[in-house]
Order: sequence, then structure tokens, then C-alpha cells
Amino acid sequence: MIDAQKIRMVVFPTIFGILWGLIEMFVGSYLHMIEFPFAGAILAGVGAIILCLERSYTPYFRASIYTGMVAVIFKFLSIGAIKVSPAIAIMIETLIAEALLTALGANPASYFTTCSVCSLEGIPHFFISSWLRYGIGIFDAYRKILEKIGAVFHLGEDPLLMFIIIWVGIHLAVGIISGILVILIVGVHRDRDEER
Amino acid sequence: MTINRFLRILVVFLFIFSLLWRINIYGIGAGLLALVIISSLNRKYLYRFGPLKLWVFPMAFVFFAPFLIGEKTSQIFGVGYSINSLKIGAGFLFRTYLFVVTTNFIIGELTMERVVENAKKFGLPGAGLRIALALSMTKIIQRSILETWRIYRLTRPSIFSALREIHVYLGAIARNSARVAEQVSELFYLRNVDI
Repeated sequence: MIDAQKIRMVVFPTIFGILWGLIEMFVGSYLHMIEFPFAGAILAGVGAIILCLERSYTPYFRASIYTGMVAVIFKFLSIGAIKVSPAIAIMIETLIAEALLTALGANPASYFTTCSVCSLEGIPHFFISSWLRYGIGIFDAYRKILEKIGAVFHLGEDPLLMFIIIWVGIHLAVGIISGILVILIVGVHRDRDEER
Repeated sequence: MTINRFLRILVVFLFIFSLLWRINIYGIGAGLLALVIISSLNRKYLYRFGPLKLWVFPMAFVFFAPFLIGEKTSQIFGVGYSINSLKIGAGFLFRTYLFVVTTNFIIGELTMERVVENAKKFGLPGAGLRIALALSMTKIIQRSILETWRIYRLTRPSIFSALREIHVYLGAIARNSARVAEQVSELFYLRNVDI
């Protein structure tokens, strides 16, 4: 790596990490405070957009990890209180994005895939954090609550499956929208550069 | 170690301690103590909390939200009101004020050279440069996000059109950030900064 590339590898991830961190710090804290539905999925989508955009400027291995690390530091300084769970979510998302963008390269198809996969991060995260926090018994409680809600709303014989489909579907929809947004943004930037 | 240096370090520790606690007596106590020390070192930081209009919406939210959420323990104009929700909201506002004032204080008191020098002493030259860069660039990026939003809304006054073309706004802030990064990279290259 030549000197100019080394400098870009320090500066670009730091600046984009600040951007992600500021959005997480202010918009994220606010969405969590008002308990906005699927706030985690929306923030994961925004994070994936920033990671992909950053990678379009510095298409080198480890660029996404550096960006995520800066964002994590900002999340630790969040207004609400120091929150470990969102910081872990950012790091998991960063590692997924790094793996996918390194394997598939910096192109529209890989941006779309990365955004779609990153937005699903909240699902395993929810199960693991619930298990760690409350123990395995919590899932029985969740199942009973969902069955009762399902009965109220007449969601068929297997409301649990229906809830999981809706839940995963909304996360995936956020990821698809994020992927489309990245492709649109990169396209607008390329058109502007060609105009010049 | 001079007394001023000791107090600066104490502010950082109290700030971190305050962040570690959720809103309760320990967190608020540590935050208040940090603010007292900041005022004794340099009172101007207490007034650096941004334009007042940015505080109007959170303050209104904190005041009106207890009409809708939480256990109604009191009444205002004959409508049920949750004092507990108001306390939580007021605590959140205090944390926001503490956060803005203390980060301004830390950023104002630290210089890029000092951060890089100290990081080099601990054998982390790259990390020092990143931290110093992050400290100096945060305000610029923050201002850029807000100014771009204002210009974006001027041409899209309705919330529907603003949301429909959100990719234009996201693209603009990404491009502005990339432009800043490009300028800093050029500056580092020309100055032959050791990475």
C-alpha cells in the first residue's frame, strides 16, 4: 500500500465512523427513547449504508472495521447511558460488512447483499442477548405472550410462525430499502463525477 | 501534576462515571460535580450548549409526554399526569446538557499535538492520530449534517417529499464527508504526516 492509500485508510474510515457515530448518538438515542418500532433494524440499515459508502471510497480490507470502531467509541459516549448491546450490534454488523465487501468486492450487487444481510443482524442478536440477560426460560414467556396476542388478532393456528415471518420480513425490507438507497447514492455520485 | 490538570482529569472520570449509571442520584451527582469543576476552570463552557431552538422540541417532549405515558400520579388542568415520567425526561435533558457541555470542554482543552504525543508515548501512533482526527472533525461533520438538512428542507418543505427523496440528503452528507476526508488526506500527504 503506497503512502497516499495509507493516509486514506486512516482518514476516510475515521470521518465516516464519526458520521455513523453521530447518527447513532443522536438519532439512535432518540428513536430508542421514544421506543420507535424496529429502531434497531432502521439503525442497522443506516449503518450498512454508511459502511458501503465508505467502502466505495476506500475499497481496501479492514476499512469497514476501522469505521465501525470509531462508531463504537461514539456509541459508548451515547447520551442515554453507556450501552454495551448497541455497541456489540455495531461491531457484529461491521464484521459482516467487512466479510461480504471483501469477498464480493465494491460493486452495487455486493452493496445490496451487505445491506440486506446487515439488517438481519438484530434477529440473532435479540435471541443471544435475551438468553444471556434472562436465561433460556424467557423464550417460553415470549411464546406464551405471542400466542395470546395471536389469539386476539386471529393469526391462524401457528401465530408464532406468523410473527417470525413478519418480524424477519420487516428487517429484510429495511435492508432491501437500504441496499436500493446505497445504489442510488453511489449512482448520483458517479453521475456528478462524470458531469465534471 | 498541577491542580488544573488534576481537575481536568477528574472531570473526564466524573463524566464517564455519570455515563455508566442510568439516571439516578449517583449519575446526576457525578454530573453536577463535573459541571461545578468545569465552571471553576472556565465558565464559558457552561453556555456552550448550542442554539436554544434545538432544545425547544426535547423540552416540549419532556413536558407533554407524561400526559400520555407512565402511571398517572397527579393531575394538570384536570388531565392525568405522570410525575415519574417527568422526572425521567428531566434526567434525560440533564444528561444531554452534561454531555454537550463536557464534550465541548474536553474537545476545547485537548490539542491534536497533545493527543498524538501521548499516544506515541504508549506505542500507539496510529490510534493517537485517529483519536485526534475524530476530536477535531466531529464538530465540522456535525455542522455539515445540520446545514445540509436545513438546505434540503428549504427545497422540500413537506415531510412526505423530504422522506421520498431521502437518498438525496444521505448522498449529500456522504459526499460532504468524503470531501472533508479528501481535503484532510491531501493535507496529511503534503505535510508528510507519519502514519
